[in-house]
Amino acid sequence: MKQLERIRRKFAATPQLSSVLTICGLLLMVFAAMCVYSESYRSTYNITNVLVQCVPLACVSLGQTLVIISGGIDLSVGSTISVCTAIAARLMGSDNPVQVFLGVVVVFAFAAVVGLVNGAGVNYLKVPPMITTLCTSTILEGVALWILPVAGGRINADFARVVYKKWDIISMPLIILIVLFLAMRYLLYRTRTGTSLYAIGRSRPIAASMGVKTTQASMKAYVLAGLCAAVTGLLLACRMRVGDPTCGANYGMDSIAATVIGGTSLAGGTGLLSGTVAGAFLIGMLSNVMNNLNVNQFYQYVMKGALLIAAMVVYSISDRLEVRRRES
Amino acid sequence: MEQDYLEFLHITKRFPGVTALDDVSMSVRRGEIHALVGENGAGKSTLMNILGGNLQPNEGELRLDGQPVKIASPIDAYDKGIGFVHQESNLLENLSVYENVFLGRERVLPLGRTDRKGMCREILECCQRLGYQLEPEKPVAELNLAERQSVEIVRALLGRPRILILDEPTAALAEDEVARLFRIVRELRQEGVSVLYISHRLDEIMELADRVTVLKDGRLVGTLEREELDKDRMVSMMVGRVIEDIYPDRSQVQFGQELLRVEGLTIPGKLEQVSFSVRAGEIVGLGGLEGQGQRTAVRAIFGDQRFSQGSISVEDTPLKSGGIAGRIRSGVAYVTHDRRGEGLVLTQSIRKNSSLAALRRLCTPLGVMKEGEERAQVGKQMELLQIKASSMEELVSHLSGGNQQKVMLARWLMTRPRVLIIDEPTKGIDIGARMSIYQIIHQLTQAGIGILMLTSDMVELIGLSDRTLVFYEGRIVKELSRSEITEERVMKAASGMTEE
Repeated sequence: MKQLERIRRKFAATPQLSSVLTICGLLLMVFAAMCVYSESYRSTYNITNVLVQCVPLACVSLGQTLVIISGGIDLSVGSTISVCTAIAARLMGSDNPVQVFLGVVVVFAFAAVVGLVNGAGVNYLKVPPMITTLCTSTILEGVALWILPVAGGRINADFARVVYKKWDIISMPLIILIVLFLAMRYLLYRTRTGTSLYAIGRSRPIAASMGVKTTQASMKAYVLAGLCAAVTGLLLACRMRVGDPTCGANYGMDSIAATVIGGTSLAGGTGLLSGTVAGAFLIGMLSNVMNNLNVNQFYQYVMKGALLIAAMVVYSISDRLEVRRRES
Repeated sequence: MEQDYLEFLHITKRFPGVTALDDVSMSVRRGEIHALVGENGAGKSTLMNILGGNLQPNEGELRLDGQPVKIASPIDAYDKGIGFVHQESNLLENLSVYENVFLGRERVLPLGRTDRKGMCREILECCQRLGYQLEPEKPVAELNLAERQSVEIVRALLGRPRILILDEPTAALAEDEVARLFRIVRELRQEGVSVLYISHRLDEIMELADRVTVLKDGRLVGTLEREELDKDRMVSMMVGRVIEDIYPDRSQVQFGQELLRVEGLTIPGKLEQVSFSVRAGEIVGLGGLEGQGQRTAVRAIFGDQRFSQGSISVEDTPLKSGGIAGRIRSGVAYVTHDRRGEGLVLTQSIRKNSSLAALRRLCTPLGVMKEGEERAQVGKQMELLQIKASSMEELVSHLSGGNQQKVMLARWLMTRPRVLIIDEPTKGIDIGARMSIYQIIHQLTQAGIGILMLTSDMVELIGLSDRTLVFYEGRIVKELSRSEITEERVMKAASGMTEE
């Protein structure tokens, strides 16, 4: 009973949760329809593949969600991903495990620095998040091409194989995502940093007047977004076994889309991580399905945009209903 | 018991254009309930915000227990044992009760985990002691105003304050909730906490306070001891200023037919059965303390606020819910009090700002601006209102407050209104510009416009209004004509006192 009450509470506190369940239902429906439609689709091999394909977007979107909850936005995650694959392809080609490990360290360190720069721009220079991260994004696009002018380089094959190891339906990328998700969940829902992020997303002045270290919290969000982008970058690099200085281009907008579809408000202050993962899987799954059905790439873009608009409309309607319910 | 615990020494606080506090000294004893009274803008809130760390004084110092202290921020105040319960809820709606109570000083377990259960337990214990019923895990968005206040009180009390500031704490409370609050405040006094109590309800103060300090126009009028407390005496200390000779002589003005009629306007919790009318050529002033429903009424008239009951008509035509655009077409105009926030587009020129509300008149049916006509009309208004600027292309952000106010007037006069609502006509502008705005308002009434004026400046209210309606808790409690009005009568009505 107590458990039930907690769940009811949770629904009341986060009205988006029901929308998340809707998304999951939608996912299952699409999936079931595909399974009926196509023989090859229901093979374990394909299911594992579909899940693995969705993981990179889910990882980067988790970081994006933190930033958006805190009232900011990070447009630079896409080019951070590109730079990370470029660095990985330059440093992680050797057969020496120590050097491969060092490569991983450098990638994460670089991503953290990007996060710090974004956070500093937003918090100390007081440049709006959209502008700050757009600028760093543009710079990083250049940096990626400077490190690796064309797709190439090499990723240590053993390392890549470990990262993409599969056991039936379970795969290493999936495990990485689950671990990352649990860590982020812990941070957002169980620590004071998490509470601070929600607080500054709603109102920085009020949060500050209650003793929240607003700058610190906001900086953390950007750094974590950078680190999540690094995870995605490494995953992509291991999948391709080479670096690609433009491979992250779509991830900036897609991660925002996944976050919004998952029920996080762009205004900040509300949102949840499970929704973001569901949103990322919905986007990934739909493009996989459309590829399977040989739908033209153009329509895929149209579809993605329409999905985003639909999500916005649904949330804005449910928001208004919520307000009206509280007023009465 | 009798020693001074907190002292304000020669506190002066200046804001651009006004001195909010001028050399104010007062002291608060350990374990007393010290009430602070005064009109709107007397400086009560400024003084408390200095104590609460929201503002820094320009001059003077604070002493706690004889030691000079500097209170750098709200959280610094909290750490020094000063709790502040704000008039308007200062909580984050997206967080739960316990998160709000412990925000910025969460109890943390190993691994950085917040101790949710422990924090909820502490809140429940505190609530039990105080007689509140709060569910710690409920989101604040679902609480009503009284519950939100109890969250603030719990937050303040869990910091074990030596001083507790309560700013208009009973404004949103029902009777039994007020009784509970009083009991809590008395218990705190027993425990040696000094309570600073701001209120405009003199009955409450008579019941509760040990001493009362009266402020007026940012100056200290005096402190009354318990045995000296007397409502009439407090009122006479709050009022008593000279009505300066800067107002136009309106004794010869003739009023025409009725232009605006409001009947039984009701918005649950905000307005109750508000009825009044404005005639052509008349200036009707809406007075009362801040937040008693005057602004809500005016916004309803201007179509910016839905109302559940009542009717509003202009020149005998009832206004439907047509929103602001519909109101403008019906001849209603509203000059806002928030010049920079919702009045002017600061990055635009005088011309663009002036023509904004009358675009419908200044455009061809296809929506193309008739620029020649725009220039002609704006030029005419600038001349009429004597707006001082190099040209109509100057940015409004470069203008003085008085000229900015005139640009807003120009904007609304270009819509050719029948009823002009002016909210705080002279807020933050200097005396010369004020006189010229009063003159303009006077001339407008001579041209047959009805004026509805909302002002928190008592002297202005008395000097300018032909008829004054005093609001108290969403009702009109008093109507005073020009011959009847005195500062004291307005103040009494505004404090909820009935005249014997």
